Amino acid sequence: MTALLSVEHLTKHFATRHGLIRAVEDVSFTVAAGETLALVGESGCGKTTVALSLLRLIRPDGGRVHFEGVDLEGGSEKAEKAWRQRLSIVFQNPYSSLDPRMRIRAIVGEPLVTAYGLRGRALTERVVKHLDEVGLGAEHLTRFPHEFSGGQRQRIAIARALALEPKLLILDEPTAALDVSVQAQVLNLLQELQKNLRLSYLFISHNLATVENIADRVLVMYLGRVVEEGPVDRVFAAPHHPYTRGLLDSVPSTDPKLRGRLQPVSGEIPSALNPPPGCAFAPRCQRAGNECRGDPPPLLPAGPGRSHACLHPL
Amino acid sequence: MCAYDCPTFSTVPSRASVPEMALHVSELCKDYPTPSGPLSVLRGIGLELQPGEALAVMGPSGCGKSTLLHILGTLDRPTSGSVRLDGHEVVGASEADNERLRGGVAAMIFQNPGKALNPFFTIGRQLTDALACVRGLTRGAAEQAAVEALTEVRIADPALAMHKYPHQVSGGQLQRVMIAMALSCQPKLVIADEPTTALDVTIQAQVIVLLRDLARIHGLTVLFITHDLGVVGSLCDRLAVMYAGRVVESGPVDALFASPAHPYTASLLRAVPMLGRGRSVLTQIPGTVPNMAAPPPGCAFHPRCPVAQPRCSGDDPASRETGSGRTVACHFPLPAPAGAEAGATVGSLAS
Repeated sequence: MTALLSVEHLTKHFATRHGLIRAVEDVSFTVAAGETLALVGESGCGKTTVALSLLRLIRPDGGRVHFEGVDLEGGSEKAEKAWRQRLSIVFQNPYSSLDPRMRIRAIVGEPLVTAYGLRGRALTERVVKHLDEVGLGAEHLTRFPHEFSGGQRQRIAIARALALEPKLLILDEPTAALDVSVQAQVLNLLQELQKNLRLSYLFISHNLATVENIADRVLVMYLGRVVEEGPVDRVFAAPHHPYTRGLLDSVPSTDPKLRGRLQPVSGEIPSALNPPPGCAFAPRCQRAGNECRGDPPPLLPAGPGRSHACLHPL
Repeated sequence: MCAYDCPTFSTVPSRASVPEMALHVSELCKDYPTPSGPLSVLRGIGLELQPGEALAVMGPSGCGKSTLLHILGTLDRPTSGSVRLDGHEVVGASEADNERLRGGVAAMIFQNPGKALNPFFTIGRQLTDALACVRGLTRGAAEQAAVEALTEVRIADPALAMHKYPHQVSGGQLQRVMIAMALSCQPKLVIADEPTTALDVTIQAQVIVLLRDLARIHGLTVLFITHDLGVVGSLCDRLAVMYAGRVVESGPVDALFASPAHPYTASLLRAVPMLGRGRSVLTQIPGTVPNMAAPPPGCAFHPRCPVAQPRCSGDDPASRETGSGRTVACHFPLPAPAGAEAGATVGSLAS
């Protein structure tokens, strides 16, 4: 399977008043056509920086990004604009990602105006088509975002992301801000769209149950680095990295019989300003030895489609 | 009387043998005045909590959870009904009387500790103020009690933490401070509003384990407002499911998870992704939560209900007891699945 998106050694550092923050350090991954790759990790692990770097909303410091075999680095403004038509993003909170003063036709149509200069009936027809894809009718065209529920707003945000018919959608916790009873609607819609439009997804989330529901492969990040990668079912069934195990053991079971099973990882995520030497997870890891505190362990292949960055894998 | 014409409820299972409930709520109604008439947010809520019990209240956004929480914490007053906190009637009591209940009898843990604590004062100052105010301790005694409370919630260096400002501490530590503050006043009832949703996955698990241990050690009575079925399963004894300002189903957590009687509860359990279910298509609940300014006639859930009958759009079902401490407000409750026992897991619903 040829990769639609391939990211190699992506690095992004932020210089702050208090020192250098290594937000993303040497992250590599690929997303195949029609595939869903989940990016999993806790706050500050660099998930969102990866997404924003791909969209060129921030500029990475190093690494190469290929999309459909084309290298983006050093591309002109025009090449970047073309690039942004091929991938798009749905943000976490549809209450803040939709401009409250714009009508739905203008919100969903804006990318079409910017990219193709569509106007009038041609624009309306395209907007209606994309609204229909997300299960909303043409009667909503002249409404404002406040007239919609959270689930409907997220549908509008998805319709906007689909307007330029991208190949890849970045979904940044698309259901986290929604009520539990409507999360399923959005997750099912995303699965259906993927099937019908042959979309690839980069699904950013910290909710492992949602990841298991929607993703093919998973990339676990910790403090700017990838610690484990592989097919979701196998990684979740038998994680190699102690951090992945810790994440899975931190999800409270819905079964009251398993109350005693919850085994949280001790300690907290270290500050990105002052990361521990070697493996960043070592201070919280029960398996860590002295060798873990030397150099960060490299991400090495381990089994079919899997890799992990750990000297003492499970 | 409340604007909503609620049917006469017998929402609360009778437990005559227990003399005093930590919390007893009956026929609680709350209307908010709006330009287009009163908005009925709570429409006859009945709940009760025995000392030492942990009750989860679940429901979609807009179902009235927060309004209920504010009333129970004596931060708001209901339109009608009764709320008894540790034997004290809250409704109609004077502000001075309710002031005494706040913190001392009912303490709250808020969802977002970063917003609940004052950024201008040290953690120590905020803890000692609460202790001095609620328990009437002297400054010295309050400081000692505050350090003890911080130790109890497993803050690494309590004496040092006392001198820190909220922004100098991580979110997980702040939530521990909030828990310490709530428990330091030795309340009869702790009301926790989604205490773990703002936290990271691994930190969330730490706080859940902390709350569980503290509840066991002190025999705490806790009312959790939550969205998270995992929190319900790992922390709570009983569950009350709210929908559109009513408790539509309540009972022991494992019984409710194994054989939900209300179609909303059943749909919800199948609509939420759970670890271990794999890549399944979720059963979605069609439509959206009703607008309380114009609630549907009859049962508020009927427009979204898979088993609704003509009768459901006519009259609103009263809540009734179905045995083993369970109540349900539905004309056509789901039968218990054949062979299902109280111990069957939620996971089995997936199959």
